[in-house]
Amino acid sequence: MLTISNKTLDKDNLAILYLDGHIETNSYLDFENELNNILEKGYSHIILNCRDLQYINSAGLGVIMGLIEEVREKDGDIKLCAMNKNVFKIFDLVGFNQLFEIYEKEEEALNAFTQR
Amino acid sequence: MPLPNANLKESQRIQHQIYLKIPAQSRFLPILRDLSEIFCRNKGMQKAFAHNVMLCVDEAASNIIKHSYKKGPGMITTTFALFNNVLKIVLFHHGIPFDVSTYKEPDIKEYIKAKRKGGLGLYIIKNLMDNIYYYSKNGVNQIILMKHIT
Amino acid sequence: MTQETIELQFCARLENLKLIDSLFERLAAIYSIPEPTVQDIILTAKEAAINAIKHGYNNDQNGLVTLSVGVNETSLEVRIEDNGKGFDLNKLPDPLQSENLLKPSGRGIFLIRELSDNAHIHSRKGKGTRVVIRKHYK
Repeated sequence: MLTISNKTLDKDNLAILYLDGHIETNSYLDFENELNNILEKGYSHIILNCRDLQYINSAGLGVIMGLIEEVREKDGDIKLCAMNKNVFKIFDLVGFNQLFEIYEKEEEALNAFTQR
Repeated sequence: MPLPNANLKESQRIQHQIYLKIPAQSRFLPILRDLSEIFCRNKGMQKAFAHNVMLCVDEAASNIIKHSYKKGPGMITTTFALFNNVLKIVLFHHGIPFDVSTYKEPDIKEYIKAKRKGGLGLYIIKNLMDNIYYYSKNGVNQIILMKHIT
Repeated sequence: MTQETIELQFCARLENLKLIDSLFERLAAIYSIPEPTVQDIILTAKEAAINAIKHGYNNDQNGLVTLSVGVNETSLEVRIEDNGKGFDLNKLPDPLQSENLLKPSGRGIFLIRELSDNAHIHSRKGKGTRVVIRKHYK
């Protein structure tokens, strides 16, 4: 089960998605739809807050992988934060740790966007 | 394809400790994930380890659903066994077997440039398990995942 | 929807009973089975499984307990089987008899019958036991 809520900061074109639950075969399309919605609304600075994300599999990772190029082409980015150990290990395993900015705290991710 | 060898001194009376057969539909995968985690925790494995095993089983089963049973419904049977500190999980299915020769290690940077959404499942399994074997005979395909428990 | 089947087999250890909770909780979500119904099913399935482990196999973990669930639009059928020592159905004490009311065990089968719409128990000494429970959920 996956619940996603969001918080937006219009002045920075920024949206934070709070991922609660499991992103896997039954829910990854919901995740993808949420991300696409946010992008279509014009937000290109996206933070995925993973504090309540219990589980993600390759389908979920694939969503991020499939969208990041488009986001970066718009001069934006997807940054991640607050992952638990198990989830972080999977991001690290597939090398996302090198290709994405993953922070411990949401504040750090916010700063990474707003301070240039 | 060589069978996983018998470092495993398996009990003569039972080959598995848990067996689960589910319809090959993604809505049943949470059952398989739960069982996998419970099995590992019952056997004293750490949470992080159990999580990784659960992920591998999920990835293998998802692949069967996505690729092997493309053309119609089927069942997936999964067995779990721990003997002599070797964890052995076998997934059985009757669909299209995976062609190992088509596997190429993913280049994530290339995947990102190509906006690719899939292809990480097997990579994850290969990196979390010690061994993965594919074996087919008489229409029954096996995916065998093995890991030494320290 | 025709019948869908799920089959679970586990070795005769009480720690494996949590597989039953987990299985039916997931099935409840998949089939939208109301909570009180699920709890009844879990209770009856676990009672049958406990009997299989404790009495059928005398807690010998080499024994296998098989639980299969058949689901259609309106009802579930749960089958719990073992190849253990079996028992004589006629020799079961009635838990409601006054001399048995305070005994610590023996209520399992009584509960199974009470909480199911339909329950069949087959057993033969030396040949194992099969409990079949039916419950409507819609």
